[in-house]
Amino acid sequence: MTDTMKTRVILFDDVPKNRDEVLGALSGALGKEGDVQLFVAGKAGLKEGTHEKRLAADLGVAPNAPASLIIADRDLSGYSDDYRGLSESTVRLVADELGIPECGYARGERDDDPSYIERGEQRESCIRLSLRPDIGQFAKQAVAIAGGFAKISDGLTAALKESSKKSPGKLLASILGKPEYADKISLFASGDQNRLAALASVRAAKDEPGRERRLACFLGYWLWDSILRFPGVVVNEVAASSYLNIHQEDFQKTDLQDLFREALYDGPFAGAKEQLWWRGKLDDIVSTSGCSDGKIYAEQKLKRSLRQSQCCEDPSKSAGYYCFLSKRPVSLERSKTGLPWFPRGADLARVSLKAYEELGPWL
Amino acid sequence: MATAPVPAPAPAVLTYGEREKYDALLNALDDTSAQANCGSMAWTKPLSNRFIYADGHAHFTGFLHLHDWKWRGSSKKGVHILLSIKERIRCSDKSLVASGIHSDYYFVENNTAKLLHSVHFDFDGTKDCHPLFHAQLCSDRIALDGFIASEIEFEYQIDPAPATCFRDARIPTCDMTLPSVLLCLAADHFEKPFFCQFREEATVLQQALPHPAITSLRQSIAGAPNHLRSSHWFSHTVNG
Repeated sequence: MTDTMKTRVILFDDVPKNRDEVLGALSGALGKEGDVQLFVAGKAGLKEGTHEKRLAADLGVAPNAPASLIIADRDLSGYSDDYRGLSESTVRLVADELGIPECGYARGERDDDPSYIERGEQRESCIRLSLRPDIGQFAKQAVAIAGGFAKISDGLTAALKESSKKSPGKLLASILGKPEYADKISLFASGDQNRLAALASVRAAKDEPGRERRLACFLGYWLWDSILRFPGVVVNEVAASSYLNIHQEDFQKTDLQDLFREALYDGPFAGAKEQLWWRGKLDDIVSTSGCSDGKIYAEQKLKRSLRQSQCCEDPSKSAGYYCFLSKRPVSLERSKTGLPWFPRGADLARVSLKAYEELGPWL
Repeated sequence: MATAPVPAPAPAVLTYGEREKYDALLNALDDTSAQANCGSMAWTKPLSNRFIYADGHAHFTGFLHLHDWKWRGSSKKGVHILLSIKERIRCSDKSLVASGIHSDYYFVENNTAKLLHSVHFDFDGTKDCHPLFHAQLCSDRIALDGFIASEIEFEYQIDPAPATCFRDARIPTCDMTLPSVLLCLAADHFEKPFFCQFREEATVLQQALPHPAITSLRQSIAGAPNHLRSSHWFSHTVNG
């Protein structure tokens, strides 16, 4: 990586003790790969105008610029003078306009309350990081997110050179090095009305570099909160074991996972998400060996018998699918098909009948 | 002594990329039907998971429900179309060796489905006296078990009244002018040796009979001669 490509994180936090702690952790995680800069107010010299206008100006000059990623605490009410009453949502709004990715964290996040992160997962184009289990893990995730957006930005430049008329799905497939999955990836956008505003904002950018920055942000958020979140193009450990028809506990064995190592997802954000596998690659490892499922393949390779995947509602049935609500393996027969808010590409995501009965009225 | 290279074993299954195209096709239709405000679709998803293997073949079974589709493009009246799809694919060369598509047309009112029309589209190159690609009107309905019915959102009471014909369903076939119709009648009603005899005569005679004007179809097939899918049969619409 050249000097000009170093990661630069801009931190917004208004409480000195916490700020220093986060700053130190981020700095340690970045190492020689980049640096972290505390946001410096007033550098653009604007004394009047809305928070948004002055913030956009301040983020456009050194030492706040250039920024690879903005990280902001949820509560910024302690900022004084020029930015009294600043909030993370305002920072996010300005970051979107500038085409700078942003992610939030909550200083006061309680150990027994996962709702801050979970609510973030349910919103489009929103990345929230937890300070738990420790701040070191948080910092590593933040650096992986910055690296993920940088990879997308670099890949986008190359993908646009090939053709500027590609759909978002084709662009992202090209960036991920999987052009053969373009149709499947595009299904994650199909019918997703909530992203139309973000796409309109990409088109509304005044210049080409600005358009490209916003498009890179758009693709990054889409990858983070949809394609890598729902099982379809990639699968997490539970969904992978279910799809391969291997019992969840057996699938955790190292020698078994080694059989599927080449299917591991190592694209943007891989270091910031749970371990993921390419679904098509898992399938191809099994099918090119001539086996009809992953259990048979693994048994042949490891020369020992394995347990089949188990439906969470009826252990006598093999699973195959993933209950998105209970996060457990589920069979076709004991589950309902995709909910309206599941992306169309998430064809392995189901809802177990029990979860559906309990939550049906709210889904 | 040099040993002869061992030939690679023929693949016994289909890859994910090959199977996934079935879903891609239905998703594309679903997209277009939504854009056309035609109605919705539900099917046994993902189709890529609906293959089983036996004797070097992949056996595919899927169900599709076209929910309240417009009777025709300009109509406000709706019809429900239920498809049962069965295919057999030879894994060694990925050829489709048999296909049976059963389609039922239903009118649904007060949660009761009345069968309007039922037809089979069949392709199986191994049956004597069967045209290679053909449609058959029929009276048997697609039988759905409760789980599949729920999956494809076809959970209606079924009206036991006998079927009537849905005349707006157009079935692409081969040239079915006089020599063809007679040949098909021979196939349906003659034993094999007599059918073969008539076929030989009809093939000679039809050369001298007037040929239908099919310039557009001819050009379409000449332009993409590697398939005979129904897109050729609509070339006059896009080129005319």
